Amino acid sequence: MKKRFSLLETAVVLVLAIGAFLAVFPFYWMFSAATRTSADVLGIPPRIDFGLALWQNLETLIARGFFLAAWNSLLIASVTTVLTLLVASMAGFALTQYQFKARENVFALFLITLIVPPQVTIVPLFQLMAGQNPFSINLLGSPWAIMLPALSSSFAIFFCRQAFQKYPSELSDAARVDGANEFQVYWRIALPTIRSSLAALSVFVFLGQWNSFFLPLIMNSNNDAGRTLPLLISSLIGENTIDYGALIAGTALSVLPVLIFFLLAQRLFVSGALSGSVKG
Amino acid sequence: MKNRVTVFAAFGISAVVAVGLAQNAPATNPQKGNTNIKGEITLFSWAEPSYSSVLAEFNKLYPNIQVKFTTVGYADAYPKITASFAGNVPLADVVMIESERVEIYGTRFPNAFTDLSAWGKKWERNFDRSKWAQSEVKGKLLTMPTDAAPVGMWYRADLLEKAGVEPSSIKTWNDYLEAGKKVVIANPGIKMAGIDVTGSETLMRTLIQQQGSFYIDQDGKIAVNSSKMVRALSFVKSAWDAGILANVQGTDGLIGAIKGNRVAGVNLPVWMIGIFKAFTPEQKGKWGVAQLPSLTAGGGQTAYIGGSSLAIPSNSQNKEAAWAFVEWYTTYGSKNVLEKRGAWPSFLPSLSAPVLNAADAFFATPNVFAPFKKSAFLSKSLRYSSDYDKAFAAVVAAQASVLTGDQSVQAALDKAANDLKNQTGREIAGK
Amino acid sequence: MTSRRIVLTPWAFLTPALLLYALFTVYPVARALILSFQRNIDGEIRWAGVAQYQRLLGDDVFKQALFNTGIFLVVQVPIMLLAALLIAIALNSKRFPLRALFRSAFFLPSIMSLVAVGVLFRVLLNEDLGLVNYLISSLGLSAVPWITHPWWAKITVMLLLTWRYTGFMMVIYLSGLQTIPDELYEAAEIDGSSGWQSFWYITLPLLRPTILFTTVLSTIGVLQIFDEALIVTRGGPSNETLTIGLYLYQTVFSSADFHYAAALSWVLVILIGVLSVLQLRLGERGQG
Repeated sequence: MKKRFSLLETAVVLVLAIGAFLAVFPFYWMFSAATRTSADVLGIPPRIDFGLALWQNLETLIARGFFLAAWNSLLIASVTTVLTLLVASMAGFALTQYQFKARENVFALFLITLIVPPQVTIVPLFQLMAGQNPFSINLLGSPWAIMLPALSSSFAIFFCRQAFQKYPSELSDAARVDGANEFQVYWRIALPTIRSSLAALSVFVFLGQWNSFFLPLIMNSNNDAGRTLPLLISSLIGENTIDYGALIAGTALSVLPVLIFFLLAQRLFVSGALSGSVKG
Repeated sequence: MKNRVTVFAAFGISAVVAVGLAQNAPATNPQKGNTNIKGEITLFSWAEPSYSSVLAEFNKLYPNIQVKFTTVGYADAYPKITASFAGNVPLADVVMIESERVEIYGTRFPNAFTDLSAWGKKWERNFDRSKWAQSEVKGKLLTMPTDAAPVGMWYRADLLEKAGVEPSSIKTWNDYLEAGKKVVIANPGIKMAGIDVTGSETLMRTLIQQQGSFYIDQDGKIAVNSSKMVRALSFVKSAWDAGILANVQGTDGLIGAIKGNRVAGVNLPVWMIGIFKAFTPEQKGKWGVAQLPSLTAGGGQTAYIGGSSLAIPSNSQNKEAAWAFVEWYTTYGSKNVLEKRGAWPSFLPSLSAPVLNAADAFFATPNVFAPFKKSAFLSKSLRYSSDYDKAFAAVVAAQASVLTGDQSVQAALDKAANDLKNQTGREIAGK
Repeated sequence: MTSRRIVLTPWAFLTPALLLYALFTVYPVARALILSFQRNIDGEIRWAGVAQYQRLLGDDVFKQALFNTGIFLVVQVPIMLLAALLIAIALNSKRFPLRALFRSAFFLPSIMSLVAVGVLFRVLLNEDLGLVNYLISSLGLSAVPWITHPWWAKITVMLLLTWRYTGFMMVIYLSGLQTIPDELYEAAEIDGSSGWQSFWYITLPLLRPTILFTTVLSTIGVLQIFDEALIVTRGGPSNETLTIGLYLYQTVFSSADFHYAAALSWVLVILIGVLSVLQLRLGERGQG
């Protein structure tokens, strides 16, 4: 019993269709250009069909260490995601389930760090990681130098705090009566109730770290062995020579896994899973 | 406080090393090699093929030195170098640095470099003078120069011929301007050359070097508003106003303009050879090159844009092996680099390499290297200064405001000088 | 359950987060403050008082960066947020065909890394060889100097920001919209109110917190941007797309002038702080 579309509605659908096309087209173009040689990517006239140089481009990428970089990216992004979720959910739990004096101030402290631009902290951070700290611990060259600073995510804490606000504290009290300690209450009772929020958050954290460029660039002193995918791609951009074919093929390959995952789990991104976070 | 400790510690280390070296100079020899020098060294650059392609030749002389490469994108190299120097964290045993940036780093982080004077000074008279001067900061030799980048007048022979312009008749920039007008009329939609109006100052840099001067003078004073700079920018403006220049930004923009048949020439270094061959194979046989025009008949013709050098950071653990590589690569090895990669050597003996006399069918001129070979190395030593990045930005801004706005040449350059004064605390030299 | 335990427990849960913040945010920021009162003279660090801040006052490049960032803030943020809101409202309607597909399509750009965005758009927007100008010329229009013209370059950066972040903002609006009960709209419809009235009297007021959230988020984002401008226009032409974030980046890494950069960054932090508080205050007052 659908109503017919009005003129306005048809126009809206049309406009959004154009918008959606513009949003997606660069992805298509990227995959088509990945199959071309360098001179052909900048060919006249520009082409949008597929070429024959995909294998040649892949060979260049593999020779430059594509698989190792992909493995590094996967490792760093996965570990960061798990640890960020742990740290942020613990903080979110504390900020919603307990009454204590400094609670709002602590939350404000976390939020205020959102305004600190990353360029400000990078040099002191680098020196800190390089062993210029009271413990003389040198973390450069280990993935921890990339992961640790990423763990303090205000966005994740904000997100978890909002998710826990809907959590009924009677559940905790019941568990306490049954003899659970506070960590067990958090881990076994509270955490599972915000599963869907955590799933959505994990997608954002993973994506952020998978695409992260600036911090890994500075912190990776382990050179080729510690390179992540964005670093590998960027390393293909020489001063006066750029292998556009390999460059775009690498770009496409770095987007591909995320794209596949996105298409499989798109509900997580675009459904209401975020709703807890911005209720305000 | 921590900084001072670090600086002090770094200084202490390099002092110890320097003493160690004096007692025990490395037995390197770039012609005979040395099998006793051993170990693995790493080389940090954004141009790995320039080094890996000649590694076999190096290992014939030094079979027991293994060279490993750390390669980053061009735009990523300086953030990494800066962080490494600031944190006194080893980056590599050998670090590639463009000549224009040696003094910037050498001034901010004087102790981050190994002073190569004791080992390298003996080569000074064999090197292009300007390149050598760019490697020396406050009496220390911080890097060894690798490639130089002499500029030539590249032109599309077919388009010039269509306009009835004989390339060899272009002797002065004034001739160039007149020829450009003819080319533009004979080839609608095509300009005589491309310049990056708002992003770079290659033509300005060419013109000021040809007059034996630069943005910051040898006394460290600001000279961007000197009469020579006024002359340079005035020419750029007259060429722009005459409509013979196209605005082309970045290397990709340049490739676009060349491939898209929008320009009949560029005034850029010898490394354009690589770009033509890689990106415009369809224009085979159309490109020629000649020596740059000069401002006055018989005036200076030489200019350099770019060129690099190799440093050995003071925290390198194997300086002897690092030096063996740097010494070979910058001196006798530069001939191999020229043959394999077309990099123009700063080491003058390599200019007699046979490859420089060979014909290349890709180009319209019988010997593509000849014009560069003729342009002798700069008679006056040319230094970039520790504030080159700021001077560069100020000159680009002045050029842009003159070409795209209505500011006068003198006013724009005076403003550039004042901006630089505020940023650097340097004095402005008299005009 | 002792009262002491109650007091300590939340702190135990907060310890990892607080430790990480202290080490990786508070310490570097405090260090930057110290750096901003020093200078580097031939490798030696000396106290310099407020000299770096004085230099900032006379720095035309800084003023230009401030101006550019302001333009991005005033022009791009409202357009993007409005577009995201309208798209979200349309895609929230059950009558919209294929709405799941549309939502995914709009969100897609935000999964792409900035490095990738830079690579793709430098080629697509190439003045002579890019696909975009090819299409424009084949319509009989003249090629657009996307990267070389002062105003076009600004527009390019704004288009890129919009391309990449509109979908993300749309998702946030969608989740906000989903907390508004359908019954409200149904009741309004029964009362005879138009779609426009429903939007004005139901959607907007209930979405206010979400709108405030996205506004603050985008403001912070724009004030900090450096990558978008860096990778596509590189701040050019003539610093026309230089943002404060990018200028800061150049000062740190090209000039290796940490002390001036530290002063710049503190000015930036204060600026973002003031703007965020201002927006939050305005948002709250509007609510009351």
